[in-house]
Amino acid sequence: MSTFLSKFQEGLVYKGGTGHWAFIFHRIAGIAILLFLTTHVIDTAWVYWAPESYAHAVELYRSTPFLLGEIALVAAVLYHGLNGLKVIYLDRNPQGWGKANEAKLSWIVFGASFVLWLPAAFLMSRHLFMQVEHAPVTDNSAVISYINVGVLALLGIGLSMLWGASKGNRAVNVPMNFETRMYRFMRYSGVMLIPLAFGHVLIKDILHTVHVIDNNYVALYWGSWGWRLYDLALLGFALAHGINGLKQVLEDYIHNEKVMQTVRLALVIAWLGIMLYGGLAIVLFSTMYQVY
Amino acid sequence: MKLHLKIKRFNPEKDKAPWWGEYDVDVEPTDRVLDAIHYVKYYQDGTLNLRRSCAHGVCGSDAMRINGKNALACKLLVQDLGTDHITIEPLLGMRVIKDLVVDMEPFFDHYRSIMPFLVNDEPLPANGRERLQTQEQVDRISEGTKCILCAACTGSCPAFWANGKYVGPSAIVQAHRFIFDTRDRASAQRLGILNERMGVWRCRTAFNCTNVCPKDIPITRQIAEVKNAILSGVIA
Repeated sequence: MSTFLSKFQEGLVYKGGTGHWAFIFHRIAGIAILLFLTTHVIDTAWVYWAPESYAHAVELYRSTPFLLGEIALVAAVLYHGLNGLKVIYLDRNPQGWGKANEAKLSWIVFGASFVLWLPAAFLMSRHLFMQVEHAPVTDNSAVISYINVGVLALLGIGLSMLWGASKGNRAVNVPMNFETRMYRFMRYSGVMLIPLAFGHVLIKDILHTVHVIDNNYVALYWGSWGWRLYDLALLGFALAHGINGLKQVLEDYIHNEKVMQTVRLALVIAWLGIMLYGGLAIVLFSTMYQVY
Repeated sequence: MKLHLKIKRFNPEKDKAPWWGEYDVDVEPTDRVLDAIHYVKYYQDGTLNLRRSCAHGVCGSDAMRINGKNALACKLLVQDLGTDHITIEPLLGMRVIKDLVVDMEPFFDHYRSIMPFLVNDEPLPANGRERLQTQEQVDRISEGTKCILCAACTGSCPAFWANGKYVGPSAIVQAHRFIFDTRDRASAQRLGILNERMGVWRCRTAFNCTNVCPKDIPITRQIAEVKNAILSGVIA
């Protein structure tokens, strides 16, 4: 452990460039988002499994430490998403990995994340120092939800066609393995998560805010299958993306193959468990009985 | 020009932990960092250990961390550092044998793992002479052929620091040089090796490798080209 820490420390003092820091921030943001995501999926699922606990959880999310955490979370989501797009774009277009271009794009990502985060942070932080009146949300805009799902499905199909089997003469045949498939999945889900996660954060955290979210709000939204599908897609892509990301991080630091095998198994079990717990809540939730 | 050198020293037979040796030297601005280190070794402390052979940026044996960033001590002029305080440390990610000398054996194991030699068992061309390439085909691999195996890139890679089983940027550059060589016939095998868990997918595009390569090889770009070759099955 001490060697791990000293190695980690030395890595931080290495005088790397923009890409080095982009990598560090990307990793920290990713782990932070996954940590939030797992708790968020579990407590949101309570709206079906234990409605009273859900009301308590939302109450907790309205407290100052959680509001501050939420503002940081939005920064992490924005940065992780935009930097991920940068990496996906450059890996698809290798000639873009030039010294000047890499630095330029990294700074654009830092800047764009900050510029997008500022108004969001302002809107969210108002609750910390002033009384903000919120009209309860009464319209779940079912039509919009179906348009969303349609657009997302088109994006998904477009991406899979773009990244599907390659055309032309195969000069070499490298059999696909788990690593190749997961690399593809991380790219695919990464792009899908931009509209899914950014849209979710925009609606729930920034526009509506946690102050209007309660059991009724969820019932209103899940009254339309469009929003349920949206949330299912978000859950499916985000959790698998996050758990595989965590696996990659752990493989960096756990060198004992036996231990790592156990860790992989634990991650799969955690993934299945959270997926079922959250997914079933979205599917089984009945608005008929839940409206308070 | 007066310089203050801080060199990380470690002799496993005597020292419990690494320590900083501090030295004042007088060199010309156009001298290289290697000259400053030589000055210390020749006139102040002969026990200072480092590896260097040609001392002219060809053999690749004196890669080290200079002011926090990997470089060849024999290629870096002291006037280009922009400071008269120079900190010198061994490469990260490899076991320190003594002072600035690290154990390069794991690094060369990765190099050997990607089959760094031309594979072609086909009969020679009719005239019995060399297999010809067009200028474009040569250009495709010429950047990679400049690699001198100094380990500046692999020693700058966060993924390699974390897990030395990762094949590392240098070995991928060497593989790229043969994968994209039209005369070679073992590309599929090399891509298969790099498709494994500790292969090319562990690259996190931190870009330190490209920034420190003393031969200006676009390493991150070449790694991405290898990734795309595996994904598409097309060597473009």
